[in-house]
Amino acid sequence: MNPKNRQRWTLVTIVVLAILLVALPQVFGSGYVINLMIDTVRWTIFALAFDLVAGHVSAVSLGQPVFYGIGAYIAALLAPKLGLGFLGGMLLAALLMAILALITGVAFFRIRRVTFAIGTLGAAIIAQLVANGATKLTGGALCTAGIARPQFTLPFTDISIRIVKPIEYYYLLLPILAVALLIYWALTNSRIGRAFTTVREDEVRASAVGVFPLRYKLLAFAVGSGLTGALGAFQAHYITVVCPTEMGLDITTTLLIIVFVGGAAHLRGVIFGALLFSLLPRMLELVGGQVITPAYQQILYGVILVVVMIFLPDGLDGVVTRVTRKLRRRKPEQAEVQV
Amino acid sequence: MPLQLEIFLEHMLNGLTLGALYALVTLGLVLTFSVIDLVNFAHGDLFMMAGFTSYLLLNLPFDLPYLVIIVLVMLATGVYAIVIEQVAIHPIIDRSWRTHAITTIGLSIILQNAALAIFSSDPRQTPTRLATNIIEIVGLRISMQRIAILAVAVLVFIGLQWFVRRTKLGKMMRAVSQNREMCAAVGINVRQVAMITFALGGIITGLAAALITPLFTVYPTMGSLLTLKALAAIVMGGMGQVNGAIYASFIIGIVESLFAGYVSFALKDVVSFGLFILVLFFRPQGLFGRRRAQL
Amino acid sequence: MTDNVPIMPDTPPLLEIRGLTKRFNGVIAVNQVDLQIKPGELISLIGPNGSGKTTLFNCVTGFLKPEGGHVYFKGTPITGERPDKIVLRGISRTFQNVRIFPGLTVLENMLVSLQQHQEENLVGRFLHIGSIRQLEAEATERAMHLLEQVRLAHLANEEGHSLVYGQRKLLEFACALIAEPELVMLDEPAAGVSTAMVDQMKRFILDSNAKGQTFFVVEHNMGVVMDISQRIVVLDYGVKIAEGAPSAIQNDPRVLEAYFGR
Repeated sequence: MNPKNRQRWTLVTIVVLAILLVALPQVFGSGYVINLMIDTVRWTIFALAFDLVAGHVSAVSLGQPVFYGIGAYIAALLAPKLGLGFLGGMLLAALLMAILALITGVAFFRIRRVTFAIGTLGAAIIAQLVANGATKLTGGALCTAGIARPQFTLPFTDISIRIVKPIEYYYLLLPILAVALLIYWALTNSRIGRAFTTVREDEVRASAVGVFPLRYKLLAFAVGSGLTGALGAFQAHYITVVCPTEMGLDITTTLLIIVFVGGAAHLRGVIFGALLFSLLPRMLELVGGQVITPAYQQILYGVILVVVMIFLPDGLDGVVTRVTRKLRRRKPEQAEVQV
Repeated sequence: MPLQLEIFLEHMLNGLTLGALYALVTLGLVLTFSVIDLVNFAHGDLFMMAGFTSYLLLNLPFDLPYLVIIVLVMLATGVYAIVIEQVAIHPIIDRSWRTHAITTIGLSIILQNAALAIFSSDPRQTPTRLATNIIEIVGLRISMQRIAILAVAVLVFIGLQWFVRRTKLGKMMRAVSQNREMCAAVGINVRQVAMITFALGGIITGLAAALITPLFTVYPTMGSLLTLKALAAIVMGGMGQVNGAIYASFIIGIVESLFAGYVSFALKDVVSFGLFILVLFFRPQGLFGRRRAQL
Repeated sequence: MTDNVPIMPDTPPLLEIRGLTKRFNGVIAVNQVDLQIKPGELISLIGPNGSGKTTLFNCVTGFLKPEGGHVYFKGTPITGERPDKIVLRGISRTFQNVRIFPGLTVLENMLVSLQQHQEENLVGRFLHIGSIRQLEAEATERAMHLLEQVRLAHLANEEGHSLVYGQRKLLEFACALIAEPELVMLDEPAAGVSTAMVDQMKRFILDSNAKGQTFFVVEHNMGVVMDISQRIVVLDYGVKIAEGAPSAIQNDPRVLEAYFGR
């Protein structure tokens, strides 16, 4: 398939997906489907942010729950104090989490590459402890409640929209997905993306061509964490409560599995992983009923993660790439054909 | 003895016991890291498994001598370690650090949730006769169990020094930690050394668990926090420095105990992380480490 | 032998190394080495295995921090600077075990070797999409030109991992030249490749040098060394034991003893 055809196919796929995203909730109006779609889109955004950090610059951050949770608390506690609504809260969360990422990144990106993983893991464990313990601030295990529903006034009019129903939240989430995709694509398909690849593949060689690895690791970490913070803020407005359980380590498990089973540092892999692992719990429910407790699901996830790491390090996306490459080689005549 | 001093000394003693516990746990982890350059995020869960094994053995319908239980737990944990190594570590040992990290995290998830499924999340505890056997030293009350832990820890460290310096196996481990490729070239079976290192770490962890769980509780998710503290100790001690990690473990134990006693018990676990960050900011090569070259 | 632009005696050195010393755990790898390279020269660094050649390279290019001594580039001290900063000053290098980016295409490997330099030369960092596109176009043109010279142009869109060893070496070499650095440091350019490729490499190096490119080469292949060098520096156990024209070095008893008589 020559480049022009491939471009055409990609465009078609994008348009079709966009139409599906917008239309499906109208067709299948049930609460179940809408919740499923909200989950899928949420995890896609989350995974895109995570992939920037853990995939593109190979900085395995085990601390995304921190940015997510604190972003949620910012929207719940800080934003109203500053008179910020939904949008302001999200932007504030994004900004503050990006700054936090820069500060912690400077400390954690030292000594060995694994120090970053250790530091972010520590941050995740400690942050949840503190959220549980600082009951005066966060309400502890009893959660912070009473977060306002998003409310917008359309410009140039007096019309005010208040987001209450899940389907409304869904359509509110879609532009956020679009922004996340745009940021992801712009970063990774540019010179910056090329620099990311050098940092990921060979830091020594990267330095030898003039790339300062720390700069790009911090950039990816800050952007990824900012996006995550914004997503946390959204979640706060969606559920209208923020509990320390939102910062649990099982978020990290799901992120790891979406990105590394899907295919790290590849958009296609991340999206596929997000789709798969939003649907998987529901399928397990259908098949196993109540027998499949959360613990069993986590065990399954853990097993999948280990198996994929051992046998399919490039994830499912890697499998697809290898298969298509083999098919392309079997048909050399097609390469000669000029369209 | 004045009350303030008595309280302080009790906290210090607790801290030493805690430090000994952390040091024994960290030892297994730093051995693996130093010899085969692998950070095992599931290490704390190995301790958890040993702890539950110890708990089960202590609660059998018939009474086993404590010494026998300790040996059984050590052997069992060694076996667990070998199984884990063969199944999950062996295939990825030559891969990137990222693969190591993610695989061992996956392992940790499996182990923690398997324990949750089998045991439920309630903490378990079984005191032993040693734990309830309190003696008095200079007016301080301390259980024999704690003395045993400290004594055993010291013995293990001295024993390890001897082992690494005097025995053939120990020398092989040192060789592999210094230059893996060269070892393969001179006929050292690196894979075998890796497995033995893992097993050794497992046995030491088992010993620690058998001694400590009578004093503290076991619960399925205890591994995460333990792994974190062990990792903090390794980083604080200077990556790859076994002795540094041990000293750092004791420091963590003592500071944590003092913090728990004088500041806040609920937030005591923040101490290890706080120390970790301080060291990273102000002395990244570790408290006891040397500056290492980049290539 | 080479004939090229004569070097004026009082041109300031491009690279100056004074008393460079590097230790590993008490073992001295580089011992008080002095060295000067003038613009336009082609200098080779030779010595038995383990004599400290690559360590010296790593100290100059910032990958290792020396325990003692200084490195000056165009008069400015660069000792212990970060390697990516040193690269942007105008020094490029290749590696003993060839390093390229396996996931990037041949063309992308070239582009990434140039992009940091381009951004450095831009006044201010406020870049519109348009000017980036122009930069990319210029970079691509320069890259393809170089790739044609090393006969890799037909592989421009192949990913790095699909290249064989010899092709990788050529790519690494081309990447070292694309930003038009003032000093190119090659670590064993003739190692592990066929005789034909060795000749090709020799020709590329000599052609570039004829155009004024300064080279600092570590090499084991004596034929290559004798053919291309204007001056040879010999290291043994980290100490500089000889320096001079190829004819002098060939017959220097200390050099012969270092290589053969131990």
